[in-house]
Amino acid sequence: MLVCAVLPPLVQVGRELLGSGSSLGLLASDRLWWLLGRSLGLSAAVTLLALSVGVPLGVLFSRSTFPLRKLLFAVHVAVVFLPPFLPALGWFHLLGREGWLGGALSTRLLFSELGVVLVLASCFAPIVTALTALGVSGVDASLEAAARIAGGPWRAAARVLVPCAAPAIALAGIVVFALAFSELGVPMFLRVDVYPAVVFSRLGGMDFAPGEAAVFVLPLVVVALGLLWLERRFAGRRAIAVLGSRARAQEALFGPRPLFFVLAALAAAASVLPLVVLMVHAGARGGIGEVTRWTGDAPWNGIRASAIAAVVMTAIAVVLGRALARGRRVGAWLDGLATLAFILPSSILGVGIVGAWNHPATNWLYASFAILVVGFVARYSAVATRTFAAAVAQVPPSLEDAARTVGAGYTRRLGLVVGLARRGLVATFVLALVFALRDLETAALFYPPGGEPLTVRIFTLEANGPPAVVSALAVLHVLITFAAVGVGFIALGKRSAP
Amino acid sequence: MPFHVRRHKSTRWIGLLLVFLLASLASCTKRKNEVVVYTSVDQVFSEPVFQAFERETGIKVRAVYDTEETKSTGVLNRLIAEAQNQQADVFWSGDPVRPFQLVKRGLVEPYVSPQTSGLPASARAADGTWTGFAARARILLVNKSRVPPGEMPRSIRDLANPRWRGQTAMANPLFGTTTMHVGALFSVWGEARTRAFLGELMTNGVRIASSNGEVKRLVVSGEVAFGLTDTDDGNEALREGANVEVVYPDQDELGTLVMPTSVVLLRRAPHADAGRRLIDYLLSAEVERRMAESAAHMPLREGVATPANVRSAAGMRVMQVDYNRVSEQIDAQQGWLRQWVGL
Repeated sequence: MLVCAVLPPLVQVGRELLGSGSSLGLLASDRLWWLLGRSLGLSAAVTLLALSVGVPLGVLFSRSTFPLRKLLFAVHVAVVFLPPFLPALGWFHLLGREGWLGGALSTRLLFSELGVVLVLASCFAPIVTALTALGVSGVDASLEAAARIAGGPWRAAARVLVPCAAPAIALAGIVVFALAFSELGVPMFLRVDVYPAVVFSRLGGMDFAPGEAAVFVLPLVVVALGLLWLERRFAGRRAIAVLGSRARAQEALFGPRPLFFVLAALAAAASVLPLVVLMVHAGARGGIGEVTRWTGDAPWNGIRASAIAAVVMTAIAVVLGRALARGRRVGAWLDGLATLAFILPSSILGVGIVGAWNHPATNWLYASFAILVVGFVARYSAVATRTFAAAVAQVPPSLEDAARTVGAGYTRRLGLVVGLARRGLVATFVLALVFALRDLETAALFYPPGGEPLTVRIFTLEANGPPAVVSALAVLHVLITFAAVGVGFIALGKRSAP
Repeated sequence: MPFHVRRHKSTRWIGLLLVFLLASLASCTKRKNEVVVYTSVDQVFSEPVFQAFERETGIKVRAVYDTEETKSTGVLNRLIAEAQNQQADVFWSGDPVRPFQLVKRGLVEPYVSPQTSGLPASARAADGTWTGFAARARILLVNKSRVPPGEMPRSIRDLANPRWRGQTAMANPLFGTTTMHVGALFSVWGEARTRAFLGELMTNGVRIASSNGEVKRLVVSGEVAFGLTDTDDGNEALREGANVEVVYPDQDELGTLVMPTSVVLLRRAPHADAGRRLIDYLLSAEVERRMAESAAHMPLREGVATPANVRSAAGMRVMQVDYNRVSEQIDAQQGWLRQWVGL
């Protein structure tokens, strides 16, 4: 399924590349490499900042007790459900020249590289928080108890919990880096030129030049390979096998402290503030009344395609994630393919999908919502696979070996792993669902006529649409995502962290 | 240790979802009584028109809209990318230049609608490859709290005036109607003068926004003093109660650029007959009236009243351009323009 979804568009991009060999000279431009360096630098800064904030918060939300913990966690992660452009718009209304807290200095900072880093880090840090919380919650309580004998809770967190959750944290780092690197809307809005804009200018501009765009993708292949190498060199093999979700219920590592509540409240406020500003600025009361007039079938279109895509991605992740976690070579290769599709600018992936699937023989798929499913699977399978791989890495391989010795075949051993890592399975499905629901830039390129998801509708209405309605639709999208995630938890029969 | 793999609830749910997928796909078989339209006219304005067409004819309209950032070129390039298996029947463009890109590639089926008779000859192709109607103009949107009444800009050349250094904005000329505007300048002024002018803009610190909508946002918020955008953006700013003024530039010399929206029937359209009916409907006086009222588009057809908040094309000096030549200039200058914006 993964190969069917990912390979055809990549082959199509390869064809475009082969057909434009004469364009290779475009790579000689100094400006191009400068933009690539800037994009790498910005993405690294966003990732470092998101990790610095998200890892402690993940431990905090997962292993401590304080009032409103779950509510604050939900508010903190809500910003992830939206394309980053909307929170950026909220920050603009707050910190722009005539914003509520704005002035000449704040606007100068916002419209700069620093502004891009801060806005994107605030949008993506909750991904780190959630994945760290997931990784930490899978650590066996006995390991934690042993660590506490030698030191206090801080030491146990730093020396045991975080290292045990390394695969999940590494996954978070890669996801954040890839999202920051491929993000186009926020840098364009804040007037910072980045490398994906070069690719976009060949596909969204007047002279449609997919061949040239494919040439500009070449350096991104190197970036994807570099990411994979870094992750496997420094994090992939450092998983400590524990009992995962079979661990008994853990007691909180940290007792209730006012400071933790304050930190969690600040994290939640930083996430939700731009959305609140957006709503208030737009006078959302008027917008909510108009929502039914403007939603059309868009919520249903998005949920239908995203739910099915999430199921497919979870199925792929069970097989491929286990293979990846157990160091199987085929797993590593397929994961590399999926990671490449994840890090490519969505515009070129979209062109590849159109070229690969828009034929009379496959029109039944291309002209229906199923093309959205294919697109989501192609783009986000890497996230699902790695999430499940991170969970499987915490299941001791010896259990599988024991099953093999009593005659269990591949399917039964896979079932054993799924049972032991079911919390990871839930997280895989939920993450896949959230990424598909929040997608904008991939779906916008090939959604079937009349079948746009809600994110795309919000952005097409953003052009001269009533601001109150746009804000209200954004809120509706957040609520729908929460509801879909809740249904996901129920469907899989297990509640998860924190 | 004996082990037993439990049958999870998830298996049932996955099975249900797959059945649902197959049922949904079965329901997506080709529907006959429908028309597929791709449009770069803002969804907020075009969707009500399509809904009215559905009510009137019973034909289902399935639409693809452009996002603000790729306005006009996003769906145009999708049409080009899908040429081998055309999905769309009709392209309703926000300007009259994009259709030439399709004509050049042999993707257009000429169609002279009976509704064209009331439209000016300058706004349509004689061979029926494209037909223009409800027009927008390129305007300067001015924030009145930042620009004193005595210093109101009057020309697009004011964007290069050192008085306004770092205080003006325009959209990226690689996308949207700004592409056409720059192409029009190349066709009227020539290459040397236009490149010099654009160089002056860069020197003067003109902010390159991602879209005309963002130019409006920057002006309304006071981030810049004034910016170059379209009449519909200016009209929306006024509707929102912003402290702005719309200036139709260059009324004493060059003229204001006026851009009719235009419709095209696509070659190998899957629902060509329904496409022709939709084109007839779009070119009707009723739709021009609706676009004038809701989107501040200038009616081109005689007999359709111009709303009070819109200036009539007949009542202003209009930049004289040949749309085909503008299209050629856009093609010729793309490489230079990419360098100009740093991409």
